[in-house]
Amino acid sequence: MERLGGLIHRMPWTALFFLVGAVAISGLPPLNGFVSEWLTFQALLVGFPIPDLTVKIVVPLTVALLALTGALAAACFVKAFGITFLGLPRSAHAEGASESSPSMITAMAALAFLCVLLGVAPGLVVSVLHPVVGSLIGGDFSDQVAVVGGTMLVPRSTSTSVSPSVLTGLLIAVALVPLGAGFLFGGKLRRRVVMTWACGLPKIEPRMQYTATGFSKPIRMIFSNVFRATHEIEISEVSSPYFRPDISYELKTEAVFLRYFYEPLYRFVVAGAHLFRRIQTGHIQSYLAYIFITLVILLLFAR
Amino acid sequence: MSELVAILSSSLLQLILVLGSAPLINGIIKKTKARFQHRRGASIIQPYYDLAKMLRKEVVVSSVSSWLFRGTPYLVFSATLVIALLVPVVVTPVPLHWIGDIITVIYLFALGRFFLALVGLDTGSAFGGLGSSREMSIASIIEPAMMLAIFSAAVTVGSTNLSIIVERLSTTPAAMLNPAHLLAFAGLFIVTIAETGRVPVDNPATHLELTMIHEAMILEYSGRYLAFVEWASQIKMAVFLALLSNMFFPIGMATSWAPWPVFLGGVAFFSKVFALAIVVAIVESTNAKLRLFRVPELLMLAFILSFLALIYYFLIGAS
Repeated sequence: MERLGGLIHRMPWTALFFLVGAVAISGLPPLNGFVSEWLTFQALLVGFPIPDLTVKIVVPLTVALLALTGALAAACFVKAFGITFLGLPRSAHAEGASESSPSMITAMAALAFLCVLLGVAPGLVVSVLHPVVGSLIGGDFSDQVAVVGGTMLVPRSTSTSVSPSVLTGLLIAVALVPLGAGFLFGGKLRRRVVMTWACGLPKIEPRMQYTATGFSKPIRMIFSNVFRATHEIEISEVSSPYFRPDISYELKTEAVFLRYFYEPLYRFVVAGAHLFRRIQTGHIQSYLAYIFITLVILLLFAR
Repeated sequence: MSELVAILSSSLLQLILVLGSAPLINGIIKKTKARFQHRRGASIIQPYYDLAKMLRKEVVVSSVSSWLFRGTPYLVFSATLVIALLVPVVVTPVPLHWIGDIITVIYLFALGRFFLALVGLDTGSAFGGLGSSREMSIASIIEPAMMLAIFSAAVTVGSTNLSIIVERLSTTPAAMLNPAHLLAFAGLFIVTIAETGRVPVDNPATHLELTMIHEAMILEYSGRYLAFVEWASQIKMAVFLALLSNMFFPIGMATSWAPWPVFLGGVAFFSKVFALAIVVAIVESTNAKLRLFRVPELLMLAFILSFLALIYYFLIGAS
């Protein structure tokens, strides 16, 4: 990602469909991610009156965590889209990039279309999903979320509703206000295209832009307990501290879940396997003996 | 047919009300801050002149930027206008309340922020990247606190629909003085300060790279585009003040669109919102801006206040 940039000019279609996906995964209206997130929040609101203290503590924390996840996803995808597709290209490869082949674009277009379709008209799938939820949890859930008028989602217990398709229409319709206000006060839009100002330097250069690592630095600082980032800077000095021939910077973030959850789990499983390998001799006689002993034990206990 | 006309005309009235009063609220905050600094300050209607001037000026667009740069001001402004239609301002229920609830409002703001942050990276300047990076980081810690504050107001009613929250609360005025309610109000007030980029968190009056967040992100905008982005953030302020006053103290809200109740509701609304605007200005004048990495502590306070509100509600119950 650190070598990309400016791809929106060279790969316009890829950029557009990537953007649709980025907006959708960040849970923003009017795309499908928003509908999912909205329904989850409604489900959590229904969970509040359950008279159990654990539920009462866990539900608000889940609300906060869901909100945090959404916001971090948005931050992540601003970085992913912004650094990759916007700004100036950071390498010769990015500068010489060309649009993907039509088959790849068609595939992306189909997925982006589904994001838009499910976001604008979630009613299409909500009723299909009811039996799925029913078969997973047991019970009839067909009346939990009603689809009114084809577009409006109405959860049964929270007396609220959302209508993504009307919302989308409204978003487009009210765009007339700024267009109208602009024309009314200032007439036709006059636009001048110049190079970005480089604070007095002759020319703006790709290296002046924020990097992907730099972009997420505040988040790494705020959640430093989780990331446990360590960085090393090596600077070689020759004569003057102002002219340094070589600076190297190395950043490592710790994979917390890998280290404290998956790796202990992995070690436990492997140690267990080693233990069991001792009785795996490969001789058919000993396996017959195991079966015989198991049978005797079972007979003793299951009399 | 006449019903449709009523919905359209009342929505239009609400739109004009929010759109028209947002710069005035901004002017009041600026004037109060100026008085605190022993300055006379510009007239409170100066933001209107500024907007009119910016709408007339030509826009300067970077040759590095893409169509996102040109489209985003309109998108941000439209999203903010839709929000202005969903939030009860003077009359409850709002005619279009079934389109979206408070969660929709929060995510529409997030939509605007998402695109503004992208635009910060679009021109290839370092300032834009700085602004986007900080804005998205701060947003990711605002969001949990905001959602919890909103939920503690929603849970007492059992609904996230804004008009229903306001309506239930105005029928049971005693609930307004419930400690849980007041805690959630304090939480949302801190969130408002952070979300609208006000002093302990961000400084709207600076262009110094050390301190700016929102201003750095929109630094490359000029002329008409800047007018829309600024106007949208003024409306955002107005909407947040409306949420604070109507979701927590819906006193004097009109319940029909007849002229006299609307007038009375308008008087009640503007006195509450202007009072809150002055409080915001006082907070801004009496606090120093926090270091960027101290901001999480402030927002943690908002988070804990809202969490306490919910716990209080569960243990002792709403009156």
